[in-house]
Amino acid sequence: MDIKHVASLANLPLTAAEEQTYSPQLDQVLDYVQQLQQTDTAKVGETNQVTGTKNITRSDDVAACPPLVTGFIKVPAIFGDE
Amino acid sequence: MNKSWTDIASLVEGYKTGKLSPTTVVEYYLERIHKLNPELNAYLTVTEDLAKQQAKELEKKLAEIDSFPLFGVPVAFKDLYQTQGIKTTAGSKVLENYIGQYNATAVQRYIDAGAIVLGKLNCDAWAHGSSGENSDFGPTKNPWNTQYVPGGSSSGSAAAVAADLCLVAAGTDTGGSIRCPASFCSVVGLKPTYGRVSRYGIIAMASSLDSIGHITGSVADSARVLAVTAGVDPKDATTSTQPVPDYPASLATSLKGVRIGIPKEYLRLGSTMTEGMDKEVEQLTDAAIDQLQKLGAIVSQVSLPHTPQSLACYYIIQPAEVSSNLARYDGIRYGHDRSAFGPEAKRRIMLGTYTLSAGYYDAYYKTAQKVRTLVVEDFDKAFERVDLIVAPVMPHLPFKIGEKVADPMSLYLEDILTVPVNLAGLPAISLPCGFSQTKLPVGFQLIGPKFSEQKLFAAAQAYELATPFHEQHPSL
Repeated sequence: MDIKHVASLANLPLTAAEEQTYSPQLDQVLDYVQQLQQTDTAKVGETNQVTGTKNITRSDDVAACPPLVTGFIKVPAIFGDE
Repeated sequence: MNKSWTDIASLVEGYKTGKLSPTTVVEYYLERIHKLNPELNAYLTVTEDLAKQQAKELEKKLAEIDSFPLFGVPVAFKDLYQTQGIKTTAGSKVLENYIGQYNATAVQRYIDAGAIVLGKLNCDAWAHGSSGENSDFGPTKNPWNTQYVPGGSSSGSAAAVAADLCLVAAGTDTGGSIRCPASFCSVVGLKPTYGRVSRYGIIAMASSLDSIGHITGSVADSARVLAVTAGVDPKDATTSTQPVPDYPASLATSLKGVRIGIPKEYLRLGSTMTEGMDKEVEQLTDAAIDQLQKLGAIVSQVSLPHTPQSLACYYIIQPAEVSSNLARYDGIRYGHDRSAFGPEAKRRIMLGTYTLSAGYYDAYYKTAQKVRTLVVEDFDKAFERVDLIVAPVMPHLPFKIGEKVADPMSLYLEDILTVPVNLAGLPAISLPCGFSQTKLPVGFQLIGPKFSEQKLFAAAQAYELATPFHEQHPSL
């Protein structure tokens, strides 16, 4: 991992000492997670949530809308007489 | 004062008979906190004035005690729970001066149910860790032996319940953060089904994995608390509309006919995964399984073949979501700038940024999401044959403070038995099952299908009633 590049993407100010410490630690984790490449996932779908629910929305209730006049919303005038 | 209660039921009984008042109970806990917290470092903030004021107000409502399921129950919250007007740090220097602007839904539900807020509990910063040592405000000590870690990330939550510094402690579990410290401190830790309890107002770690649960001294208390915190919340669209059952009524004394599976991949994992499981952990888990059998459970072996991949899957998905969630701490809106993140948060932010970056997304994140499907299917198949799954919580005993801080990867590997549950969004409960020869606690977990908390509580209660471990307390 190019640690300077990734730190700049993540907007993390790192000292030179921090770069030296984190770099081998992160490479070790990346080496470990590489093992997923060996799993055959060609025919497997992705799971991005496990709730079993979808499209949870509140009802689109516009009862509080100000009065409409020929499709326009009527609001108090903002220009004075002068 | 002499303590006359051991759980919520006996505390409430004490209030009803007039033997106890909320004020005297609050004083008991505050005294213990003042005496023991300087050593244990379980609390980051003690809300002494609020607790006393709540106690006074409850005393006026004694006639209505039955309409408050947690009347006068002293609770404390992991410092990830936003609390209005009370400092909410997530265990990080980034938020060291941040005052909560509103109550998390879970916090409000505790308060509305009559709970008394004693304060905010230490944790690994942003809930990153399994030892409590990643807190920017110093590690929490294990009440059973203060040279040892209490587990994490809900370190203060488990230590506070074990040391009797509160009756109930709220926590969060993204990859084992409730079950791990509960097992290291010999208390009961519940990780509910994903979406059972609202995440609204609780500082997010990895949003598709975060589960909101609690640590208690007994299974019955755990059931009482979930009855309060569970349920749909319009402010968290991932909460389930499934009705909330009467959890306290589901407790049982027998396991007759309950089918319990032992994943063959979990016990004797082999050297590549965890350097082998600790012998004592394995023996105590075996003894717990024997006990379940004695109580009538039908035990058989099941297979979760993608267990080895699940840890790699977790350490892609979780840091990816962490890097996204922590992007908002930009130094403009909340306290300090990004240089104030501790080493573990920085590591996870960089890991997630890398695996989500252009050119690497498919190889890492997308593959992990596919493997997550395989992990979910493993459990689905297993639950066609059994009602519950039994497993150790942590492969090793609690370790000494400082022993593993230089080697983050070795700590990640310790999560192998807890993270699959989070990937699949399942409920699990960690129960004490004994002590090592060195007097360090060991716990095991029961895992159920989604929304099977009733079954979990019933089995857990039957086990608890037949074993003495929950009655043992650290000498402090």
